[in-house]
Amino acid sequence: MGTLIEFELKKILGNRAGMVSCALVLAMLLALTVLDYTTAVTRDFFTGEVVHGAEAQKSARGLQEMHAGQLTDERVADDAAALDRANQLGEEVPGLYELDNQQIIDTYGLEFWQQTRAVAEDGYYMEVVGTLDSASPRATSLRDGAEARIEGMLDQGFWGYFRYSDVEKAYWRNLEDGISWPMEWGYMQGWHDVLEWKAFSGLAVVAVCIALSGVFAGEYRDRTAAIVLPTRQGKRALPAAKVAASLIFTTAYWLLLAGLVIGLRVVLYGADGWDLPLQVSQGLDVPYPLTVGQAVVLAYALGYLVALGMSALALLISSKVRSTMPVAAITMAFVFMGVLGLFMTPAAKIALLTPFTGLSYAYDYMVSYAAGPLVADLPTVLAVLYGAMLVAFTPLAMRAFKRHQVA
Amino acid sequence: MELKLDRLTKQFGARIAVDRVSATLAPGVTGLLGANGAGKTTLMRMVCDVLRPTGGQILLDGRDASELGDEYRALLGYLPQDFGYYPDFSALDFMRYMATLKGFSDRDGRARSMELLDEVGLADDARRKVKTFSGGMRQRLGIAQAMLNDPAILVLDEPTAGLDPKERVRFRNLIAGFAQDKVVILSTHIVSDVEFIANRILVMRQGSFVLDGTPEQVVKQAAGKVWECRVETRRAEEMSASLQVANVRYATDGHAVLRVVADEPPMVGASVVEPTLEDLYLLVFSDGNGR
Repeated sequence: MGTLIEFELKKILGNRAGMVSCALVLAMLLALTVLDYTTAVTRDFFTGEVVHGAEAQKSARGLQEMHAGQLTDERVADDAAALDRANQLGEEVPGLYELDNQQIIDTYGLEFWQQTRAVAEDGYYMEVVGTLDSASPRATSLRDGAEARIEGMLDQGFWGYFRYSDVEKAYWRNLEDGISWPMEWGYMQGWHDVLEWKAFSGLAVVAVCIALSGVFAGEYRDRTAAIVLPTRQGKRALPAAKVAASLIFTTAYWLLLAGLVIGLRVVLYGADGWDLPLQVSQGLDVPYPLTVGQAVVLAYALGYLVALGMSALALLISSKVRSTMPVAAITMAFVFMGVLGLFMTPAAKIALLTPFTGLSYAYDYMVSYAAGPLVADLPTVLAVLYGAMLVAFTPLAMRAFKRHQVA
Repeated sequence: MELKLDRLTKQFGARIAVDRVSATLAPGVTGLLGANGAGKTTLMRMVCDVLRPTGGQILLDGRDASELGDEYRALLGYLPQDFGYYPDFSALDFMRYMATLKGFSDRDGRARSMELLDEVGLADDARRKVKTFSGGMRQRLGIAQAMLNDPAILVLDEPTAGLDPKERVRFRNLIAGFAQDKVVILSTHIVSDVEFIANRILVMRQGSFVLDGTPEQVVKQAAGKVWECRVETRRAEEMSASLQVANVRYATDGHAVLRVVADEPPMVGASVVEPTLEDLYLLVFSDGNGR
């Protein structure tokens, strides 16, 4: 069996279109990461200077570290006061809103800029004080603000796409109750980016499917099925070896991709913030009681399961057709139609079950599916769906190959 | 060992490719002769369990081959007509792969592969990629893979396609030596492939066996129907256009000697000659208009 798997892997690696697709995805990932890092621009809070690339990252880190610590009620009250003071100072100076950052520094000095525009544009204040302002009157604790923010979203429905039933609302409230307060804030840029890039594995799935397109169909197309099927192992170990080799390839490629995403981000931005709450990275309206590290593990495990499920779909199509084109076309359509489907309100919940959109929204938004009293969130439904595809489609693909008729 | 084809039928939509053929095959070479489209390849595919029959069954020593499954396939060696290959595999890789599929351990498979590559004259090219091989080399590789497991049933569909005359002779000798105690089915429309090595000839036309017997018995069917005619060159061309002419030999004196296959003498003065298997083939596959 081991030797057969080895040969099947060799065949997969010999699929030029597949290898080019896989290499392109990796190249795109590398290029975007490098571009993202080198083109970053920010104005340093401490010097007021505009800085680029690595300096910009260092400056952003310094600012985040300045806000690090526990978000107690006293602390957030001070933060709210600081933002209010910044807004008030801005209103007291006529024409300030028309000036850009450099003009404010040149006209009123660095310290004034640090107390006004720099505070108003600081994402930390927008997130924390904005969350307090979700309650009316303004909440006195971040927990109350976050609860009001989530409650408001539950009442509004998901961006107008769908409304939440009472059991779904109860589900999300229950989940939110698990969050520990007061929350710890800190720098976590590397892991934040890793989470933002989790959907990338949804795109990588397309490359994997192209690579696997010839696993069965290639035998039909190249007329090799006629010599491999009438052998002792042709209808027994061979189909299993093909599936095993395909899943090994998917695993290896996925590990390479995830390793690159995580490795590059950690090298460039550092590994800090692994233990911080997920809300520090993804927003205080996220009800998942997870740390950033737990969310990274879960999101990437989910991405892996999605990749395996899609591989099984690719294998099933490959076992049924004589050309590799439909395998690539159908799986690509499956991935990209999800993005389009998101814009069609009635289809949004279905579109969210496709790889790219599903992984984009998992652990970031309150997407749930209810059947009577049962409620499951998007990651759970994705895990069940793609797990079921893996379990159901691989035996079907093997069966189709065994029953292939050389005619 | 006995391989029995029992009313084997294959229908593709309205077209019947193989029509209730029955035969009992014993060890030795069985030559399956037929024109393109006669149903030979379809029959071979059913024998090799890669095409499900519409009706009938294949019995190996009285046991249904479809029920024997892996046990039956373990006894098979098959060289299909359209021999596909893996372009990025070397000849040795391909043989090792096929050996693994046939149940060899990697070590034994490698040794057996080298032995057969040597036998078909590809030992020096064992590490070359198959995509760089000529048609004849690929065909020899196909023959080698079919023989890997020393099959009890060897099925060869147009095995000499692409082989040069020297390779053909080598192939024939290889099969003759191999077939002592095995069932070898050699499907071809090239008569000389089977003429000297087949113990039995099955002639297939429009999905059915129309002749069955030893080469001598089969050839006898053409006795009295093969004629030699000596005519002028111009007349030879006219006769070639209207009769089933097996051979034309032009003499230096302006005459030609024609070998004609026909039920009746093609001309006054035509003399009957001893038929060959090729004459019989022409007789069976003439289009009804004498051609």
